[in-house]
Amino acid sequence: VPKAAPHLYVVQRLNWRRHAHGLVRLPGRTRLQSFPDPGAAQADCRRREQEARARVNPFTCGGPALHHQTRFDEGRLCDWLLDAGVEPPDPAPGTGRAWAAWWDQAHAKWSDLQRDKVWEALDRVRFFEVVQRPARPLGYVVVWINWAYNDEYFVAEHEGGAVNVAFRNRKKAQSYADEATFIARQAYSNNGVEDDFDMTARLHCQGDPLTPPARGDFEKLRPLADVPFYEVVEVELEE
Amino acid sequence: MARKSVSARKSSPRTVYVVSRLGWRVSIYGDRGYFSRHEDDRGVPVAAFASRDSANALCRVLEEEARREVTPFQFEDALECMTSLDQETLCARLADLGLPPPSARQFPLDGEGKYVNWDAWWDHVAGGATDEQRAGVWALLDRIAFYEVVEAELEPRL
Repeated sequence: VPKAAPHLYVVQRLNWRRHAHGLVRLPGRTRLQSFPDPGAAQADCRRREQEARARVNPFTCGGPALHHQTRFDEGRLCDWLLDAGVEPPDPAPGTGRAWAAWWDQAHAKWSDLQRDKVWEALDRVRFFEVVQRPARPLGYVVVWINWAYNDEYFVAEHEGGAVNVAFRNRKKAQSYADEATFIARQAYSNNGVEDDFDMTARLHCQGDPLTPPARGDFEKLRPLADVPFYEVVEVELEE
Repeated sequence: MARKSVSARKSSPRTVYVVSRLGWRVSIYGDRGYFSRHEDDRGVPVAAFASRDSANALCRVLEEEARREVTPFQFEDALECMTSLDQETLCARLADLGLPPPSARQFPLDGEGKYVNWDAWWDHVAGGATDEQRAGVWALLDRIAFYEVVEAELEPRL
């Protein structure tokens, strides 16, 4: 009897993206940590979810309508809240209930149990999950980053890049990416471009979207020598 | 003989098929976040396969998962970037799905009331839409994709 492939339990962050007024969801996940034991993975996931819930107003997630946050219609959500001992917001004439403002004003007054009950109803706002996956070998894909010129400076594409080549070994992939970046920098330098590169959005996408950026957390334009043109992305490789 | 062919396979360049999640740039309209794609952006590789069929199979699974999880009409702003259907045909297809189609007067995108504010309409109907209707809406948005399969050379000579 062939031996079954070992499985891992992977904690993943769902692909929320921050904007000036809240978060919106894109397809995809970011793998954060793998565990051999499902209980440890679930515990880690719960801890991360609780930390996120302490920082996020759920009614700013997705969009202004309730279907972004819950499968309940407004009446059933209000009933659920009342059952939990939480007074829902009053509807304002013409504009309805201001859920996001209500959350800001009210949530600190609730007990932990009441807050958990509210989040339970908001079933479309989840930030982390655990998935069971077979342990597979990893590959390392080198991507070429698109730097788009906006008539003033170059802006890096927000995440990833165009697939270039792949390796089984991270060191080889990084060596290839470094050499290709060196050649790309020479080409820009030969055209007189030295310090006009903006990576702000790309760096934000690589960070934790659930933590608001600090005020003024936008960097100055970077010099050519400080920006990558090729990067390595780890993937599962099935041969 | 078999041993030799394995050795030859390892030393020659091979193609792998990489499933990539396409990249979107977030922007703001009013107090809402929207996504659009820059024409030269690609995305984030998520898995690589020796077989194109395996890559295509994962791509289909991820595309279906994405359409269950994310909201239509938050991607791209112009109707022609979302669907090959014109507004009139799209409305007729929505009615076929059992969804009340919007009018530009009820959900105006602009002051002239010529174009529909599609995400406002979706917010209006989404709460009562079934999973089948939601999938039907996504099927009409045939110009929006979230994943692609691209070829890459495995272990190129440095």
